[in-house]
Amino acid sequence: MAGMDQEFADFVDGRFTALQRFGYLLTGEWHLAEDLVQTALTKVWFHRNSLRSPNALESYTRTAMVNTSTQWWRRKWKGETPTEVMPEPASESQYGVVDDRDLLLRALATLPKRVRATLVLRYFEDLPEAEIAQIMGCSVGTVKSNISRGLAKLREHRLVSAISAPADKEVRP
Amino acid sequence: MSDYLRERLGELVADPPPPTTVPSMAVFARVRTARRRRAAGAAVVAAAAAVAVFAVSGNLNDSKSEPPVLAPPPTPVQTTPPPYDVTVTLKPVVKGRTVTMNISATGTVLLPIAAGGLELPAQNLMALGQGSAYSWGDDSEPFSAFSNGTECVKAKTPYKGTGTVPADTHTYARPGIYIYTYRAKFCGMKESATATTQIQIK
Repeated sequence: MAGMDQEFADFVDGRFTALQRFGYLLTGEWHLAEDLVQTALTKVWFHRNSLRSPNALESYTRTAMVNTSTQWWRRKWKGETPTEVMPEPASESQYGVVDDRDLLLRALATLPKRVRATLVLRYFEDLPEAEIAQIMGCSVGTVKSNISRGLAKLREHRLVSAISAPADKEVRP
Repeated sequence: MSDYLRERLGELVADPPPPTTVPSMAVFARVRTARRRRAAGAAVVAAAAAVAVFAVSGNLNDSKSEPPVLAPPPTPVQTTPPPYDVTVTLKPVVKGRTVTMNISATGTVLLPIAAGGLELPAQNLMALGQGSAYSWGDDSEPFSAFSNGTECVKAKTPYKGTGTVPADTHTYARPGIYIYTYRAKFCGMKESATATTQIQIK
């Protein structure tokens, strides 16, 4: 393994954990996230020669992850059952943080796959809308729509009900 | 809001488990498997191609191995740019006071240009829009998100297709008759595509 293969291997080993985190927010399960990252990287490896620049590798991998997770959901993955009404959260307790995490994960699971991916790219990866549009292969207008829709949905859940509506209008260029 | 959500998402992924194996080794193992499958698939395609060539060669006539002329060649047709228009269809499903709105569309638009100057690929028609707006017709805040339209300036490729928007739900506070309005903007269209439907809540 030499040259470009070594570069690719370095990229995989260096960025795996970050990509795994992104995958977890897309899928909601760590082992699925690992599978998703490996699947996406395999696809990227076959197309690595057509990349515009080596810097595009990570962006290209994220695109492959979003598309793959959407395909999985369409074709086979029905393990999660999104529900419109969230269960009552537990009262104040020492497990409050864990409960909140679980609720957020469930709230994310109720979102359409591409809306969920858009929110994660915007609020976890902190990417500007133009870059998200590139990764998602859609227009900036669609990104804005998905962000607004996703936030509106999250606001319906108790965990995120603290979100004030006017603040949600904040959209970075 | 953004800080709140960013913080929460960060907490969710604070403790990732270690990868089950060295990541690059796992990926290259998958690459080798995919290569074997592709090679096997290519062999099947090559065999099918050989059969097809044999079948076609049997259909040649005696004169210089040219295919038999069965019909006059089609005459070229002058094409004019298609009219760019999108028809939006709204299908509300009412359960009690909760309404699930299914939105679909069909039509011809121009493929918009993404931020990097590349044309967006043909896909779900609704993902090619410049944004959308909708109102449930009650006291709830109408939704609206549009980009500035600069992505349409260099758009030139027509695309005819269909698309859907993820179903949206809304619960009305009171019984009554409401008018739901949906509007979406696409490259090539002077006016937005709009649709309205009446919803009766008992």
